[in-house]
This record gives sequence, C-alpha cells and structure tokens, in this order.
Amino acid sequence: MRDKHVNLIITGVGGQGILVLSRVIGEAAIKEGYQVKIAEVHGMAQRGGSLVTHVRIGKHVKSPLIPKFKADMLISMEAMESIRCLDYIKPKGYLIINKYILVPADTSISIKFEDLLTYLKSLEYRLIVLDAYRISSQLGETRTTNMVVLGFLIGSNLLPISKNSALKTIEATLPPRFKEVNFKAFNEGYKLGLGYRIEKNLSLY
Amino acid sequence: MNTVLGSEGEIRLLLGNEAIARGALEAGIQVATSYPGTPSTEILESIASIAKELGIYVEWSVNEKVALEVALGASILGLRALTSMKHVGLNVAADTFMSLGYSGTNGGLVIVSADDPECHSSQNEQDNRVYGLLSYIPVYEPSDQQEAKDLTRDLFIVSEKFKTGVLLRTTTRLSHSRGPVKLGSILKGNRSAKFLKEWRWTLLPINARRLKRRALDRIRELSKFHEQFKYNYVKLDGDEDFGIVTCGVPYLYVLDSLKMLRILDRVALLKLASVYPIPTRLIRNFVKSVNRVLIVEEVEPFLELQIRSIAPKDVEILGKDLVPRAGELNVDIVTNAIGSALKMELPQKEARLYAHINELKSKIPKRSPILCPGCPHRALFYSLKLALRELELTDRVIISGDIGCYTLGYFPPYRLIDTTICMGASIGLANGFSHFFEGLVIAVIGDSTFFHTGMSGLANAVYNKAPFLLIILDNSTTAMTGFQPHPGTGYTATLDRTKKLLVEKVLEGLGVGHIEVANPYNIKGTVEVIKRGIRYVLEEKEVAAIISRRPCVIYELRRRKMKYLSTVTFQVDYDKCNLCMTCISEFACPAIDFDGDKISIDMSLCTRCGVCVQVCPIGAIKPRRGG
Repeated sequence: MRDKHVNLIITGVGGQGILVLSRVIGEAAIKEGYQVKIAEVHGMAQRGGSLVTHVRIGKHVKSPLIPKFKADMLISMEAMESIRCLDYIKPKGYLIINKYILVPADTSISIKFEDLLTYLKSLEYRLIVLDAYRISSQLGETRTTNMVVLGFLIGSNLLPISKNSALKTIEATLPPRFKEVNFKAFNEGYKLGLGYRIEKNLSLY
Repeated sequence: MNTVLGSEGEIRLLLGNEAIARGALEAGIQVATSYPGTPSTEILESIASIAKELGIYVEWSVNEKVALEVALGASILGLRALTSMKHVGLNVAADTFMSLGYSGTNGGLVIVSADDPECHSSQNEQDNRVYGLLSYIPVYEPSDQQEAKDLTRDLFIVSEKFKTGVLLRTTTRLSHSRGPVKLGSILKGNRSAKFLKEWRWTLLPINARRLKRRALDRIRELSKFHEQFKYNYVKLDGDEDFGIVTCGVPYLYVLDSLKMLRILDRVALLKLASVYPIPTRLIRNFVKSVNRVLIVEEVEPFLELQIRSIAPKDVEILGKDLVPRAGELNVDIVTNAIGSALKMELPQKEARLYAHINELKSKIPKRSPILCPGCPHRALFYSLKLALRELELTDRVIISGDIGCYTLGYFPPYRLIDTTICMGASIGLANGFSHFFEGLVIAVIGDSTFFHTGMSGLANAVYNKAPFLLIILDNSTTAMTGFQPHPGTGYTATLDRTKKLLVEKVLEGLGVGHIEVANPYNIKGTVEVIKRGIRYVLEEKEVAAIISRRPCVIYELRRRKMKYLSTVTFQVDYDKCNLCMTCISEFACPAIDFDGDKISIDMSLCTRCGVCVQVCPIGAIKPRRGG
C-alpha cells in the first residue's frame, strides 16, 4: 500500500454524477488498501442544486469532513461551483475544472466561463481545465462526464489509484448497460491525464 | 451490486444508513418500517431491496406513528423490529413512543432517529436525544459507519435484555457519509409470532402508575449497564489536566482537531455511545481525574446537563459556552473550541485569501433549490398564478403550504407559498385561516403528505365548515426523498402490487362537496378547474378540492428508462419572440436560458413537457416533431 493521504472535494450541480464519481473513487481507493471517508450532502431538489462531496483517502482517516484550506484538490464539474469551495483548497493545491457552466435559471446576471477562468488563473492554484463535457457529448452520453474526469485523475497520477482498480470498480458499481460507454469516457480522460503526467513529470502524487 | 449484502469479513464502503440496515440484518430482524424522510430514507430502502430474499417484512408506512406501531406490534409478538425516521418524524410518532417507554417491549425494538443538524433538508434541527429523558428510553449514538453497523446489531440484544425500545440517534453527517465497514454474518430471523397476554400492554391508569416506577428502575439499571458498555471509549493516562467528553461524529472532529493541534497525547478522551442514561461512575471518575472538561456535542447540551448534574463542584466544565448550539459542527469549529478552552494561540488560517474568496463568493449567484425542468408543480403554480390574477385575488389570498418539492413554490418567481410549518399543517392551518381571514385561503399539499397527516385536517374542515380550496399535487410518488411508493401508488415497499387508494375517493368519503381533477400540463384547462374550485369556496362557504395529477417527471423518465417524455423538440422562433420575458421571469424553467440577448431552450435539460409552448403569450416557442 502506498502511504499517501489525499483530501479531495468534488463539486458541481445535482445530476452531474458527483455522488457516483465520489463513490467510485472511494471504492477503488479501498481496493488499493486505503481507508476512505466520503461525506455527501443530498440537497433539497432532485436536479440542479449545488452539490459538494468530501472524499478523504489515507492510512488513518477519521472525520468525513475536510477542514478549510486542507483539500489537496478541488474538482469542479461546473465552473461557478468551484468558487463556492475555493476556501477548501490548500495554497497551490489543484483546481480541476470541467469546462461547463450552468447559470441558475432565476438569475439575470450573465457570467461567462472565460471570465471566470481568467479570474481563477490569477490565483495561485495549479489550475487544470478539462473539456470533459465536450468529450462526453461527442461520445453521445453527457452523463459520462464524470468518467472522463475520473480517467484524467487516474491517468495523471493525481490519485493513488491504479487504472485496473478504477476499471474494476466502475464495472462493479455502475449499471452494466452503461459499461461500454463509461469505459470509453474513462479512456478518453485517461489519455488526457497521461499527457498531463508526462508534461508535468508527475511520477507520484 | 446490492450494497448491504456481502459476505462475512468483506469490507464495504457503506453509507451510515446502509451500515445501520446491515446491522439490523445481522441481528436477524423480521420487520422493518419507516416513512421516507431525509436523512433516514436509505435505511429502509436498503432493507427493502433484499427483504424478499431474507424473508423480512418491510413497509413504507403511511406515517411515522403507524410505522412505530407496526414495529411495536411485531415486538410485542416477540419479533425483532427496526423502525427508522427523520428527527421530526419522531414528533409524529411521539404519542406511541412515550407510551412504549412505559409498556416496554418484548422482541428487540430499535428506533432510529436521523437528526439533521444545520437543517440541511428539514424545518428544524431538534436534538432527539432529549426524547430519551422524556420517555425513559435509552439513547445511543454511533460515531462512524463501522460502529453504526455493530451498535445497531447489538442494540437488539440490549433491547431484549431490558425489555425496552432503544433509540439510535444518527445525524445527516453520519447517515450520508460513506466509510469502510467490515461485515459480519447475516442472521436469518426465524422466530414465530406469539402473543402473551400481559397487563403492561394496557396503559390504564392503574397499570401506568406501576409502569412508571418500573421505567425509572430500568433507567437506573441501564445506567449501571452503561458503565461497562463496550462502545464507550476512554483514553485516560491519569496525568492529563484537561479532558474532552464527546459522542457521535463530533468524536471524529475532536480526533482530527487534537492531531492538527498536536496535543493528541496530552488530552484525556471519553467518547460515549450510550448518551442516555449516562454511566455516572465512569463519568465522575473521568472528570475528577482531569479537573477541566470540555464537552463537544452537536446541537443541545444534552450530555453537558447530565454531566453537570453529577460532577463534583471543583471540576471546571466547559460546553456550549464554547461549542455552538446552533448548526452542525466541523473540524474547524471544534479546533477553535479546543483552542479557546486551552487558551492556545491558533494560527489564523490564510486570513487574506479567506477574505478575498469570500468577496468572490458573494458575486456568484446562489443556486437555490429549484423545481426540475418539466416538473408538474411548476405548471400548476403558473396556472394558480393566472387564476388568482384573473379573479383579482392575488392580494387577498393566503396559500398554506406543506412539506415536499412544492415548498419551493415559496421562491421567486412563483412566491406562492406563504406558510410551511410541518407535515400536514397546510390543511390544519387553512382551517385556522379560513374561519377568520377575509380573503381566500388555499392549502397546497402533495399526495404522500396528504396520506401522511392531511386526511384528519380535511375531515375537520368538512365537519367544521372551513371554507378553503385544497389543492392536492398528485405526482404519484414521494418525490423529494427519492420516489418511494405510498398508498396512492398501488405498490408496496417491495414493489408488489397492492390496492391503490384513489385520492378522489378519499375526498368523496370525507364528504368534500366539490372535487375536480386537473392535468397541470394543460394550462388553460387547469386555470379553469382552479377558478371553478375558488368560486365554489366563495359561494358555498365550504371546502373544495382540486387534484393536480401528473407523475413527477424525473420519476416517470426513470421508470420508463427514457431520457425525454417524447421525441418532439422545442425552438424559439426569433422572428416572433419580442423578449416579453414571460417564460423567464414568470415560468422560470431551468431549461430556458436568457443570455442577455436572446432566449434559447437547452434541449439536453428539456424534458419535452411542452408547457412553455402554452406559456409564451405570442406563440414564439414552437414544437418540432421527431427532432
């Protein structure tokens, strides 16, 4: 077992597969011999509300909640939601954003993804923008955006989880009828992650 | 893959609720009952998913009181039973709960109360441990998933040893967190039901007086039993001058805080799983040997009050003066409390960055909970607004709401819900309003909530001639908690067919004089139905009822394994659209966007309900077949 401790926060809006992504990461980390805690907050609305999960992976994990400024990375499936969780990332932590923005229906404020990005770039995070939504759209199943993200996290070595464990967990946890498309999405993300790992020379997290 | 099945020794990443369910399976329960409510729902759902294989009787009861009574009935017959509910559900079941504190039980009976500190999805954050004091029923609190599983299993033995129901308190943070759980073996319950006549099952005053004394004796015995209770944990070397008493998930926050502050070795710890009655000797010894004690518990000072009442005078006890009584705790809050108790200088975390981020956060629009695209409630609210406008009643109406997705009608742009108190209160309050309010009174309630606690209020309205319009939003499921069946659906918890209670038949039976069913996807038709209902109320001065019937769109799509309701797509005709904004500012479907220039419909979010076509006053939203 690798002796790592990773705190990650996954955020976005309801319906983006955040609970599933958290669970797959957690189950796969258990396969790697880690302890895991995942805190989910199930909101009031079925779809479209803010959603945050805390995922803690390590040798000894106690509390399910990550303290402020203690998260190693923040994964934001929707761009605006990343802002709401910024105070969890430790300085120079990873901020991984899916290129997707969903402005609430009841607001008249117009916010563009590019503006948010410019702003986030000015902060001292290790910012990664993933075009996961577009990739999943091209696969004809936007519900696999979460699998593209997972593939990236594994391929880049940002999580202490092997590809094999990840794929096995997807197979065991998700409905068989989506297996093929989930694997495809995972592999697309994995390739991107691999590229990132080589570019940044990330041997181990 | 079924989450709660799995073989002995296997490690599974379980939700707290799944762990509780698994614990009950390992205790050989034969009965499980519940009414859905966040954060408790997954307990019964998990058991229901394997009930047939294990021969367990499960039911979604009509409400928590009935759920508890079904479980108590099974217990009296000698069977092991679990009943689970959200914290406020125990208020509904409180009458039965108090009485079983007197009568006691026979077969093991575990009552799970899933509390919701921070009101994540509830009308209050009441601390149900207090119910233990009131009912003489012992209360237990697990700290993590493994303990939730093991403790639940063992509480059936405690229950049978002392012939008492036991209350297991969990919170949102435990119920909805996953952690590794090493599974034990599942016990297949095979007791046969036997009824033994006993005086204690009849709470006549003559019996109740005796039972009260018995209950007090039982609590004293339990306090002694808790001295050696294996889920209480003490870390005391004897040379510490400061100690922490804690319970539940806050125990984990305490561990993380002490580690962060690097004082884990210097602080004595007492983690209690038996929070009522407390083991007096154990606690007295602990507090005496440290002299200063901080009690870290969520919501009310429940342990604190008990401990203060038995601690020697010279021991300094800190609790709710440092740990907030409102809201949920976390590692940061607990760290601050410990820091203050020890007068430590805490490093100010990233203060400048924090201020900066807070400013940024304030600029991001809130994502308030919203009705889903295609939600029939949105269509109904829209029609209701139109009907009130047409009858010039907009400023002379009180709309009494209830608990369900439709509570969201409170938010703009609908702003139709004026009151929401608790389950069933829409109808009760409407009774109260309508006898005195000069304008029109409307009660809005969902189908599941109507069966839960709405019917008696309606009987009262008919009997006492309370003139209001009742709108029952019948979406054929218990939507907000994740689509559990109820008496109006024709299905049981194990998805077997059963009798379907038709809402209109119930209304008829209760003597409602005007009953009409509307399809909320048809705006014009629904407006007319509402107007007729209102006229009846105003003219006849008695209650009228409307059933707005259309399945929850998410439930419908999921059940039919479809992405959309039809193959029709919708487009905005830009030659026609004059940006009147009706679709945005009055209807507000999340699938309809305004980017500052033009309106568009996001076909990946749109469910194809087609209501917006009727909403657009100039016909600029157009359907296209087979798109």
